[in-house]
Amino acid sequence: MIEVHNPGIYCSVQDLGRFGSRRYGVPLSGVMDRPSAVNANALLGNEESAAVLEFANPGPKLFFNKPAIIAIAGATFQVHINGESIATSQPVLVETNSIVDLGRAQEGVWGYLAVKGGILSESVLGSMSFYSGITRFSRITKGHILEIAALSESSSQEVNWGKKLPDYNVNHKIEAWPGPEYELLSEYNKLALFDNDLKVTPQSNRMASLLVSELAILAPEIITSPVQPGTIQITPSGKIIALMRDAQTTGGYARILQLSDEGITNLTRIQPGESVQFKLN
Amino acid sequence: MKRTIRKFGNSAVLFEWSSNIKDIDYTSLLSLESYLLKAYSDEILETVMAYTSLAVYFEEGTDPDDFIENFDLQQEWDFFDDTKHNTWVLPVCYSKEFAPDISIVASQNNINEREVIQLHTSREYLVRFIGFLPGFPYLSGLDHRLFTPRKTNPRKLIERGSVGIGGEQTGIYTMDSPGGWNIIGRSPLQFFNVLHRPPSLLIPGDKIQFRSIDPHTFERIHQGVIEGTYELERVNHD
Repeated sequence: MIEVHNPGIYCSVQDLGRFGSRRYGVPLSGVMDRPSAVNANALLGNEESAAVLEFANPGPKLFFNKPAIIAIAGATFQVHINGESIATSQPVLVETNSIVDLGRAQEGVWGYLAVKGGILSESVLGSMSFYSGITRFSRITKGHILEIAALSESSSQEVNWGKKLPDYNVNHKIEAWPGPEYELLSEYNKLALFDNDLKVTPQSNRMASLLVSELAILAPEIITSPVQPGTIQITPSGKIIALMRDAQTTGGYARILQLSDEGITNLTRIQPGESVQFKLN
Repeated sequence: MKRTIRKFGNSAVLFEWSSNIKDIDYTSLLSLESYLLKAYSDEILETVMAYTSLAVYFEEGTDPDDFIENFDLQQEWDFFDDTKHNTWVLPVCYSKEFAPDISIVASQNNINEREVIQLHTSREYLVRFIGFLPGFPYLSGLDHRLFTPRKTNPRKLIERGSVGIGGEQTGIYTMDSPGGWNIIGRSPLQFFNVLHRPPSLLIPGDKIQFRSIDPHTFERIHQGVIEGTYELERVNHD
């Protein structure tokens, strides 16, 4: 098992999401940066849907009381094991009674720690992804115990030891399609929306990113309608909300854009204070 | 009524019925959902209904553009909805300790608190869809004499089971949550349970009636719900 000595700023167990319950008002959840989590699992020969530990910057400090093979992907964290700096582009063997310290990330926001065999957490409505009111825990706190699969004879052979993670790219161009209420925008507002710098604010989390524009973009409220991760909403006061994985299933703000899967991934990698530009697909 | 279908991101489409909340052909939307889930069970991952629209989320490999090109919007599918819908009788305690805003709703509408309770319990409401929180029902049917604007400063915590009025809508907070509706009572029932199938007590197309109970009955039902012995009352039309 892994004992969490320090959870860092925000840390939770996530898989690819809780599908099939959105009709009952249950958010999808799941990893923010999907390619990074999938790559970490692939390196270990895990199923791509195996649960991983997701953490924001700065990351957690973890104590392993049994050996494990891990892969770390996503934001570029400075990882130390028992005080020694390690490279994270390949699988790493962690010995019994080791401290893995994820430190700070230079680039990106969300980091992923995958464990050979996966992190074992209670599955609720088909997913291990933490979500308040659905799973027992909504986030990981100090002292939390994470169960992990035991290593078997064949575990090591399934790991892609020689393989390297693909490069982690941060792209500030965010690809989008017109959303259902795109046509409610004035021509001036449509111009303001594209190729202009939109700043990502610190009020951004797993539910949504809040973006601000120097040029006002306005749209009226709408009758409550379906929304999903990647839906870009405008509030009546002109705030730009990019819905993320823990988004509600319905909402009442104008849905002016819908991001592509790649657009969502790119947006999850932008640190608060940095700017992005929307690109119409 | 105008029907449209549009792409909604790279793996979803959105059906929209262009009428307002009051006159939309709700049954038609419900039937469409039921039809789609049967006719395209391999392609569709899940659906989400709202007042005048239906989102259809596809399994990987289904191209929304192809789906739109091949879908006949003018076909009739009204006979497809064979889901069994219940009319539930939901106990609500409207006593002061559970109803911090009942006086606001009363004064806003120039009626007294007893009339608020009488009006709220005299209607049958339709569950239009579930959203906002797990299990949270969006209901239609609120008497216009109870319409009350949302609070300017939302509360940080509204307790599970609280019954509220926000603008022209009434609903039940199915989980502890922040919220801006005026709270006029509380139900001792559990509206969402991850161990139940479906996890939500209420589903779109169900009908509900509220019944006023006293604090003593609230406690008794609450205990029964915890112990799993409380039998929910329903009105059967068939």
